[in-house]
Amino acid sequence: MKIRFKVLSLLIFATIMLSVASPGEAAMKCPGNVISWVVPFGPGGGTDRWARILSSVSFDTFGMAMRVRNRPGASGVVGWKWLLNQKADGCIILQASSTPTIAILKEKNSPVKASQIKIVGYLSSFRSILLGRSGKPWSTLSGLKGYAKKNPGKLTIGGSQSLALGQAFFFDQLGLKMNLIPYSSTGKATADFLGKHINTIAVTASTAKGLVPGKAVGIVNTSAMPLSKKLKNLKGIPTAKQIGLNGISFPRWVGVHPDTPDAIADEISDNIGKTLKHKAVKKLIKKIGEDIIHLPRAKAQKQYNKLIVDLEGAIPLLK
Amino acid sequence: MINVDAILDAFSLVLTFRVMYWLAIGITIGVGVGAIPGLSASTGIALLLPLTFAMDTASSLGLLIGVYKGAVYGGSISAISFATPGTPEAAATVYDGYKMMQRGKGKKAILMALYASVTGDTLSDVITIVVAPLLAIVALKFGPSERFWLMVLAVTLLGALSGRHLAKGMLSAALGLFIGTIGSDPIGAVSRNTFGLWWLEEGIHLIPVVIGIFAMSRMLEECVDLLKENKTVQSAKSAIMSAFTTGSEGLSFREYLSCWKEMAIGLGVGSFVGMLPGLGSTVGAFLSFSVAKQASPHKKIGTGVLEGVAAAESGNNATVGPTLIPLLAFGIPGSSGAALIGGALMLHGATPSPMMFELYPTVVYSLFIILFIGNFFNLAIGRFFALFYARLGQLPRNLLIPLIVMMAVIGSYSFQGNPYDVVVMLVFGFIGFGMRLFGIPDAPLVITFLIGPMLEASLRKALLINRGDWFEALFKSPLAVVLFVAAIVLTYISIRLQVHERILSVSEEEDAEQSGL
Repeated sequence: MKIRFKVLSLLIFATIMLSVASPGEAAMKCPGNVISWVVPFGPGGGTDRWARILSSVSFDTFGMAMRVRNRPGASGVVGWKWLLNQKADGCIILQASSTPTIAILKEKNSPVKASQIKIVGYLSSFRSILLGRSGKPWSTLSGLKGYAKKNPGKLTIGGSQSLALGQAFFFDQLGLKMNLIPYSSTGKATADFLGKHINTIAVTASTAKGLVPGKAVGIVNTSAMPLSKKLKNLKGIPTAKQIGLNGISFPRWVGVHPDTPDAIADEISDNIGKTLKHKAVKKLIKKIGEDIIHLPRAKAQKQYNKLIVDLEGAIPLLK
Repeated sequence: MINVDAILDAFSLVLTFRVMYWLAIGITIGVGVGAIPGLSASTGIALLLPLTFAMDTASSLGLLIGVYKGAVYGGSISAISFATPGTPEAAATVYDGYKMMQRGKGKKAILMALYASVTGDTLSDVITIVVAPLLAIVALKFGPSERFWLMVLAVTLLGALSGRHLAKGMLSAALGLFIGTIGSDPIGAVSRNTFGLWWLEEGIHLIPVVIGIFAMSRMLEECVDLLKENKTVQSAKSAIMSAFTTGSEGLSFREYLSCWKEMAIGLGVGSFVGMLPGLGSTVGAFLSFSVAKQASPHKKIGTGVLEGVAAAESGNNATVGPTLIPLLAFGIPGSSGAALIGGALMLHGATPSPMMFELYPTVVYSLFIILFIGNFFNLAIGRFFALFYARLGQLPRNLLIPLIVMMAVIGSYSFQGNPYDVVVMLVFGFIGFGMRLFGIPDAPLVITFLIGPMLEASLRKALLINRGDWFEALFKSPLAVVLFVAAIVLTYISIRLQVHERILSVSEEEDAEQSGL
């Protein structure tokens, strides 16, 4: 009887100790077993679309329901600020792009600092690809360099703010003066490019895929990352890295409150990794024309810190 | 060249019970979403998009296009019933629709909105189907310089919306222009006129502005009247009963036909505005309303007449089909709703691109068929909602005022879930109330607020592209010159009409005085 009691006591003690010692098991407990996945933009945009795809498999990967909450305003800063006022328990996760980071870096009185986030992973990254029209002197990188040297500031590049920033950063390193025309969306810039109102256009890989080779030719990929081999029609477009320059890529990042314990942040990072490997997610992301380029917590945080430094250098070039 | 096989395939795909079922569901949800202030067509589409992941292409297009069409019409229901535009594109409908509702002609106004919406939408769909690729090429001719002159052309119509006092109209327009500059500079993205408030960095959104100006300001005014009258709750109770028991006047076919000119204006203006990327249905509605008012001053549009409802509603619904033209021809979404439908197409493997007609002809024709059939569903489902809301709008003021105030607060909050939008709505409620007090028209404010930022962005882009050369920026293409000339001619006609109207009203007053003597 005594032995049995001792064994039972030991088992109970071991169970309690194990549950205390294993942070991963006890870490993620959210009220109502629901994670809030905050999108700091309105419904329907690219970030929102990603969030809703990820949430469709959250039971399989996070073991919890995921509720997508749109908290837009001030280029994503409203949602970010809201996150900072919540508990640092990992139950509220922010998914954003470089848009709020750029907005914060531009704004003198921003209520949030770009570093006030614990990055738990990158889902993907945009590359800024420069396209031109075939048969023009600037339709190849060498031709473009020659033309831009002879005609400083004449060649126009249209694109959304982030993508135009990528171009500004690239051409500044080459010492070339380009005429950057920022647009509120890639769609509007594409319309002006197809209508021959601007010479070149900065677009993402998914937009480039639809335009090359029929309506445009690829000139340069100003990010460090090469394009996916599956994009056969974009094959051969040189990257900034291949030319020996620094390139900016614009991430789709996921972050939590900066005071969130590391153990919880690691668990979220692992779960995001599992989510991105889920068959249904892979299929749907491919269908919306985007790539999964996953970076786990440590690597993503490092890249994000570098992004802040690069953006601080590039933003004055747009003014 | 028309691909007959693809058209036949598209018919067999679309004409199934499943697709019709989702189309009906989409329109029902859309009308409901549109009628709730703050929830727009794009919000409804975005929220339903995940549902289409597991659906076939035709059914998902049926659901999403149904929501799109239903919501654009649905916005007019609360605009007429409660002076609270359910969607921004319904704001122009408030002018005549709400005045008709106050006169007990709400049912007539809501039915006119429905029939004008369906007429404008159906005919613009025919235009989209027949000449989509051709129109898309025309749309591409509009670069920054041409868009600038197009906006100038729209601003020249302000004279018609200024009422009898042009100076007050100009003051209102100037206020709208200033409010449009709040936020970030469209080129350098540097913050300006934000009064040191970080949450204004993105600028002021249209929805809280229109809800504040149109709904909250009217309710403040009615509150003041009600306090003066000091009516009892008992009288309200009896009025509710009468609102739900007595019938109100419907719309005759003759009355519908009498608005053909305004519906034609709405069709023309709406289809043109819709095919140009970035302008949208709100611009379509206000421009149609302004052109109709300018074209027929004797009809007194804006004072609570059917013609005003017809022009605005035909104008906003006529943009629905044409906004898909740039998407289908070049892969460029013309509006946020079109962008979301493009996203749904991508999810089903038909990525919108310039090769859309060649690569996915069946999908394109399926979309066209759904666009067309959707109008008939909109007519049937919209009519049911119309009759219900027409009764609701006849509630007594004692109950209607708190209901509308509540709807205004919920509507401005639910637009983005952003509490600052409620603050903006309340501020504009008081601004609107002040403007009413001093007889300053609100339409020029809304128009310049809407058009000003687009006008500035187009001008600055034109200047950037032409490296600061003003002449090149403004008159580079023949189309830009044509639009400039049109703006001059329109300004001249507008001034002549105003002078003529002034002379007429003065002589009428003199005649009245003489007959009185």
